[in-house]
Amino acid sequence: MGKACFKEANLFGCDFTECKLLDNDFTSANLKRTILAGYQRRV
Amino acid sequence: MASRNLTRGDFISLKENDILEVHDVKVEGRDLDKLDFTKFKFTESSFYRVNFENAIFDGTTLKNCSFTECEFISTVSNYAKFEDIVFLKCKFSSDIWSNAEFKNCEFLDCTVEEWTIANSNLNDFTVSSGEFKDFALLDSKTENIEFSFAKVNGFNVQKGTLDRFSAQDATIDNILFEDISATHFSCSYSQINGFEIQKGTFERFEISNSEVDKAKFTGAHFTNVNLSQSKFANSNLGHNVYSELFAQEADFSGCNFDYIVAKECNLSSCNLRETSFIHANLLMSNLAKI
Repeated sequence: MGKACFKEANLFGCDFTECKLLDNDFTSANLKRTILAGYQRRV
Repeated sequence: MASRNLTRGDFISLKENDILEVHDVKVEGRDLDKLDFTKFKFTESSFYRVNFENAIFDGTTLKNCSFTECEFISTVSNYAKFEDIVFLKCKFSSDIWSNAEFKNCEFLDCTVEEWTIANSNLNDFTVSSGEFKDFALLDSKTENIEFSFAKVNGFNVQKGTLDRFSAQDATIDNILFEDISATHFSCSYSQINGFEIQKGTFERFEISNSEVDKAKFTGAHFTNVNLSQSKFANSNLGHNVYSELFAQEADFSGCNFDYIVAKECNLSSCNLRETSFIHANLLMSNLAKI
């Protein structure tokens, strides 16, 4: 998704399957129960 | 029996004699500028190349009439009724119409520049091709307004209701919806440049397969939203509530969704390059394959 910014976003239960999560900003985001299958989680 | 062909003098005479019902007439190539059509009732009549500049249509009723290549410049209208009317290649400019009722009116290849309609009811208002510039609906109730193959520059809807707006293959610049209640807004295969929404509620809001530049939606509540396969650029879509947001394969690169509430939305396969969702609430949403 390329440098999308999810700062302080509530991503509870969101499905990020097959997303390229590198270079995105998840600072202080709520990632509880977030589905990140298929890619490395680096937040 | 053939239609009577009326002249300017005929209308002045009719008015003087208080004969205000006009049926089955045709008016061709006449200057009816500055005439007062107050309380006139026209039925089954046709007007061709008539100049209505500065004419007054107060309490005028028109039913089953056609206007071809007529000019409505600086006209004033209050409490007029238009039913089953066709305007073909007509020109409207600097007109102010209040408390009007439009029912099944078609505008084919017409040109509009500064036309304000206030406190009115519009029902089945169809615009096909032509150019609408600075067209404003203020505090009016609108049901089924349709633009197809038309070019619109400056369309303001402030207060009131808008039920069933559709635009197809249209080019629309500078729309402003302010504090309105809209149901079934649909825009497809169109180009929008400058679209501002301030407050209001929007139910069944669709912009699909379209290109939108400089959208700014704020303080609005959207329900059942479809933005799929559209490309938004330079747009601020934050600070809104979106219920049932579907936007598969849309392109929101560089756009802003800060502080939105969009629970259980579907943004799968979207382009979110440098899109901002700061403090957004996307609980239980599908963002797969982005």
